[in-house]
Amino acid sequence: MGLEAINLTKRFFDAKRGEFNAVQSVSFACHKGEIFGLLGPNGAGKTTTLRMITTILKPTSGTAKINDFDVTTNPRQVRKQLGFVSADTGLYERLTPREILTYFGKLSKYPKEKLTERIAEVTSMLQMESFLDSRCEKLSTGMKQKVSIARAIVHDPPVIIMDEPTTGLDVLTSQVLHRFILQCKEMNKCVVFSSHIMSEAEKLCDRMAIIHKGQVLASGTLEELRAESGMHYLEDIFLNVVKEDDIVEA
Amino acid sequence: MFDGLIERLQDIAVVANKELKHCFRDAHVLIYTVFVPLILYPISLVSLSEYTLWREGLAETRPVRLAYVKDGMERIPELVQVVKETKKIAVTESEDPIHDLEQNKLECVVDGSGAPEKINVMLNPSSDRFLETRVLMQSRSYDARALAMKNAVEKVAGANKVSKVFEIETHNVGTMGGRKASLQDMEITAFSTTIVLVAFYGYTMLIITVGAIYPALAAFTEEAEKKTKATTYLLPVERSTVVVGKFAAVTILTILSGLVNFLSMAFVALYFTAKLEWLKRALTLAMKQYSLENLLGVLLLFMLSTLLVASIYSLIASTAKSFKEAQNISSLVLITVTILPMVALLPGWTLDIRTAFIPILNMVLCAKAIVTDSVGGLEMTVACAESVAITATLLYLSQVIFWGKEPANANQDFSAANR
Amino acid sequence: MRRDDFDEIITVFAKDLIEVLRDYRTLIVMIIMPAIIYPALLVLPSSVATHLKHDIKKKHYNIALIGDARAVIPSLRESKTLHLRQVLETGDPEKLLAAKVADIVVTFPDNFTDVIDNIKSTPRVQIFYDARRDQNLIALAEVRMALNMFRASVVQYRFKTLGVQTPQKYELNFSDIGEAKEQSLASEPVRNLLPFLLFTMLTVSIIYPALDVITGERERNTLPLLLMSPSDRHNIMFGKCLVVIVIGAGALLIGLLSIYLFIQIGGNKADDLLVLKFPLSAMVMCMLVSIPLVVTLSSLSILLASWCKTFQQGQGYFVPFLFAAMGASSVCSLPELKLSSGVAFIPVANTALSLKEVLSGHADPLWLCVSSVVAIAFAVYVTTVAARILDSERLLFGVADSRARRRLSGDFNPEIAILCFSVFLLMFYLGQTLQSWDIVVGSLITQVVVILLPAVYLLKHLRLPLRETMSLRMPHPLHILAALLITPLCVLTSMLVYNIQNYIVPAPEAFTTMFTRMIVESDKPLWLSLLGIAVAPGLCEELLFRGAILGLLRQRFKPISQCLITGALFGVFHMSIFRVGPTAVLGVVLTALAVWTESIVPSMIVHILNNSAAILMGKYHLEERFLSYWPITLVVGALGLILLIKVRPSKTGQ
Repeated sequence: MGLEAINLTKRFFDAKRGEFNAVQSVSFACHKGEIFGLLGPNGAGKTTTLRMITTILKPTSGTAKINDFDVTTNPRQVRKQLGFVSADTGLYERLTPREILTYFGKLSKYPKEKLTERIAEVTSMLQMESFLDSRCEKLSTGMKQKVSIARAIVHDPPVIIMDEPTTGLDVLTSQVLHRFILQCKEMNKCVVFSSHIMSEAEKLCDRMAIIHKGQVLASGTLEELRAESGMHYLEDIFLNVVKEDDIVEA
Repeated sequence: MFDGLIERLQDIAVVANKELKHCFRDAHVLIYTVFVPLILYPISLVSLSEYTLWREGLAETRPVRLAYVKDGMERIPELVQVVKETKKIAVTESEDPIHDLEQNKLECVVDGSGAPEKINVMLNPSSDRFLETRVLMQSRSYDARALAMKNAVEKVAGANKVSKVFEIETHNVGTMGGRKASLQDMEITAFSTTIVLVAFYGYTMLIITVGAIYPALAAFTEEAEKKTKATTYLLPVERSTVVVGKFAAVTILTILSGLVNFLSMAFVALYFTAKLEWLKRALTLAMKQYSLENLLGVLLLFMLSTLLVASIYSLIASTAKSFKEAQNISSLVLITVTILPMVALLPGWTLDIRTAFIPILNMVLCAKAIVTDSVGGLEMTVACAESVAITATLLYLSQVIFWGKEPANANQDFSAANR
Repeated sequence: MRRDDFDEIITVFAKDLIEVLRDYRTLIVMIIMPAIIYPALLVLPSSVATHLKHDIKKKHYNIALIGDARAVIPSLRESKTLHLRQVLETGDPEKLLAAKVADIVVTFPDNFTDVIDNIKSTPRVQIFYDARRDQNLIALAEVRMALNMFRASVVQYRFKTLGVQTPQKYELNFSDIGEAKEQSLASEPVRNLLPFLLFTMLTVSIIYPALDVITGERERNTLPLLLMSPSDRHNIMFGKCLVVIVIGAGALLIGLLSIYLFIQIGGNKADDLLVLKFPLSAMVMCMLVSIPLVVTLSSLSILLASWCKTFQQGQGYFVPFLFAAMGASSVCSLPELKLSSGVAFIPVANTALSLKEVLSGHADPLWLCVSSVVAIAFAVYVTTVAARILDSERLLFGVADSRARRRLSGDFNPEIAILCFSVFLLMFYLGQTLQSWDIVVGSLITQVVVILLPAVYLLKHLRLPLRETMSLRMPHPLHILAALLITPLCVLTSMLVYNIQNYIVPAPEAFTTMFTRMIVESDKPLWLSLLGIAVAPGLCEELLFRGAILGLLRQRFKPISQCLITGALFGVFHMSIFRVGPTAVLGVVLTALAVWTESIVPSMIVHILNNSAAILMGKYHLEERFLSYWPITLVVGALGLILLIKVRPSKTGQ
């Protein structure tokens, strides 16, 4: 149980490149209580993959299953299992964090009578009591990110998906986020996150996949990757894999 | 000394060139300067003319229904005759006309039994055509009066002289565009003057403003919104050079937009002249009111108002922190700027030493003075000089405001929130 | 499940309403604009007119008289606006005007009184004025009126002395049937203006909230989150639509209330003809009748907002949207148009008309219900469509569909739209100029440059084979014969359609005379008229519609849709509501012919002959006679149709 991507493929059209595969036969799996990292440079297809898993893009072929619900045939059930955080998701600026949490909690069908309790729980976990009732437009970047995280987990989803969540955050806020990801693991959730920061992946991920130009080039635990390439640092391993691919292509 | 000036002008040209390129690649500028005038006028005016024709057709095929009260026809033979000959009125037989009128089966009931002291015309205010019927009947009564007079005169031997009494001849001592107009031309002349004024008003106020908003936004506000201001700040040129260059670009685009607008308006006018004879006559007369000097004068006014409006929007655009804010302010300004010159179109408002001091209004009044050939030198000078002065002031203000907030301060709101 | 749907809608509604109400712009459009600007728009013009009239009446004009004016002076004195400044024996009128002694100078002959008394001859009175001051025109009219009064009194006197009965003056005394008996709720100016005002008011007040709740989500990047939540898209859309409806209804209520108050305070002082009557009952009725309107317009604005990627784009679409709404409200000013004539089934326009009918007091409850039901059903449909657009990948992430792939699958819709638009623009800017220069030669050039060239250019640009796409091949010889046989039937049909259409959209005399004047009374030789107005359109328009457009539609649509689309475009192309019907029907027939025979030639033949028939019938007044031959036309046409059906195109047989 958990998340499973099976041969996900997405074709796009671009004025410059014409038809191309943004994501090509990407397969991976992430289990409960596991942190899975999707690593790759900008434009590698990480975001597109995650968007297909979160049901807002339709795969050209292939599918993904979340707790055995299929994203192409049963998107509504899939959505109930999901929490999504990314660096560029917005907030309703004229609403307060409490209002936002209530809104998404209700829409995600979290039991109404427990919702207030759950919001209190989430806010204390993320230490955001102090600004719970001021409008979002007045919050700082770090506070906003906390609200985003709280919004993603307010309905207590079993699967959490994060698309480059630390981009643009300072060290302190990133730290909060890293702690949160580890907390999720403790709570036996399935966490998938994409990043291009190798140190972050090294620190958090149980398993990872390196994705470049829409294809998975290598995957496994950090140890497996180290053994395969004979290098120690993830950054070196990453560069090695990506470079090899570029050479093959040339 | 000249070297410095030339260098400065070159800098301005470089800035203006960049802004022009920038604007031409902005979808909004293109839409509002080229697309809207090219498409919107033809479509809206073609549909307007079709609508008018449709309405006309409906009125022709569905005449106003009129009935006479019993015994109400004998004493008003001329009116009966005139009504009978009118296509837009259908005379209907009715047992109980008043009741039918109440039921909206009739639009009008005429009771001539009390004539000539009292001819009663009854209408139903709940009818769709209450006003139309009233106006129509009024004009029919004038026709009936004329007919009655004609009939009476025919009964008297050699009576043409009896009814004519005297002839009236009208002389206009003022020249309209170098020629004396006869009274027959009078109405059309007044109308054509209005057309010219409305065209001028439309050009200066609606078109220039719509054409000027987006270039100004692209040139000034975008620097703030896209955070390129800091880079521009570091350029090794005079601060004013940058602003003047941007202003030049805005002005050029505004003029361009005006030209495109004029072009398509001209074609729209052409479309209408093919359909309406009187419009053709009026426009021909309107054109006759222009001598070469008049034309040059009006062109000068166009230039001045373009500069003025461009400077107004440059100021707005440099004040605003974001597109949205700028759009909100400019729509407010748009309303004030459009209402003011509308006053100038009312009869009785002419250019004198008081009105010459009201900006924007005075430009339209100047055009009015030129068209009606009653130019006063002092007032014109005052109006033009004031426009130039205001333009310069606004330009200076927009320069001060544009550079006023130093790049470091731009983040002030953000840091305040962090605290 | 039902309960869930309801919960979802309410959740979305509550959140969006709070958010929208916290935006100051909403408050401006919802409260300030309706409360101040719209009532002012309704009341200001009439009070300005009254004021001006008052002003004009109060003004005095100086006049000077030269010559023997004794007889006229009493009449002139009666005028309240004319002020008799000077009476001179002799003088130079131009000098008097230049010295600004008088605004108007009237000169009389020296023996004026004598001539008038004895009916000797017709003396000449001259009026001098300066047209450069526009107020002088009013003075001029006053003087002329005073002189006419004098003339009338002289005539009356003369008739009396001659012993003839004086002619009647025909002064009408207008009265209405009394307030108790008439059913109208509001006076005519209000009835005609109010729908227009309400439409504008509503459009302006709902567009911001609509953009805010939908495009705003897209712009702030919160839409993907919403779409990831396990709630139904339709419910989200309905919730959002409800917010817009509430805002719209609120603005409407405020607007109507303030219009009501404005009219109570300032309206009744207006001119007696333009009296503004708008009682409380009318206001309440207005509000009730407008509810369907609020719903329809809200759903349309939601649809519009769903299309927009950014706020700015939405603001750009706003003006056309406003224009369209105002255009729809203009049905109110069409006299004698009723809901029962079928308008009840046209969304948006039907509510405008309901408003007018209710205000004028003769609305039929049945048709009111029909139009409300139609309006709400339409709104529900539009909202569902909007919900489908909401998660379009293209709009969410700017993912473009491949143009090459689209074209390969035979979908040329954007190209056809561009082609139609360019033909329209070229037609307006170039065709019109050419035709006003010379109707025959101009239309000849127009056909080639404006109609044929764009079509050929587009096909070349798409690298499609010209011959095949345009069906440029010889048809079966019998098909040519069939085309000839059915031509009279086509002419008859389009005449029939014209007459039927004339019932709803009657052509005014100005239109019909213009048409004949243009074609029939041209001084060009007949062959040239036929070439320019019959042969050239027959060839070029066919190549555009039955050639290029039909060719581009062929792969994607069924034959019936091909006929209908091409026919409709052909109708609209003629740019006149009086010709839409007949030309569209003709277009459908021609397309069917082209589709069936797989060749463009038969439709060209029919088109050329049809246009020639119109010219010839107009020129030699043969319409009556042609119509009287209808049995022959029917028989010949039936023969042609049978021939068409019996003989399948040779290519299919292969």
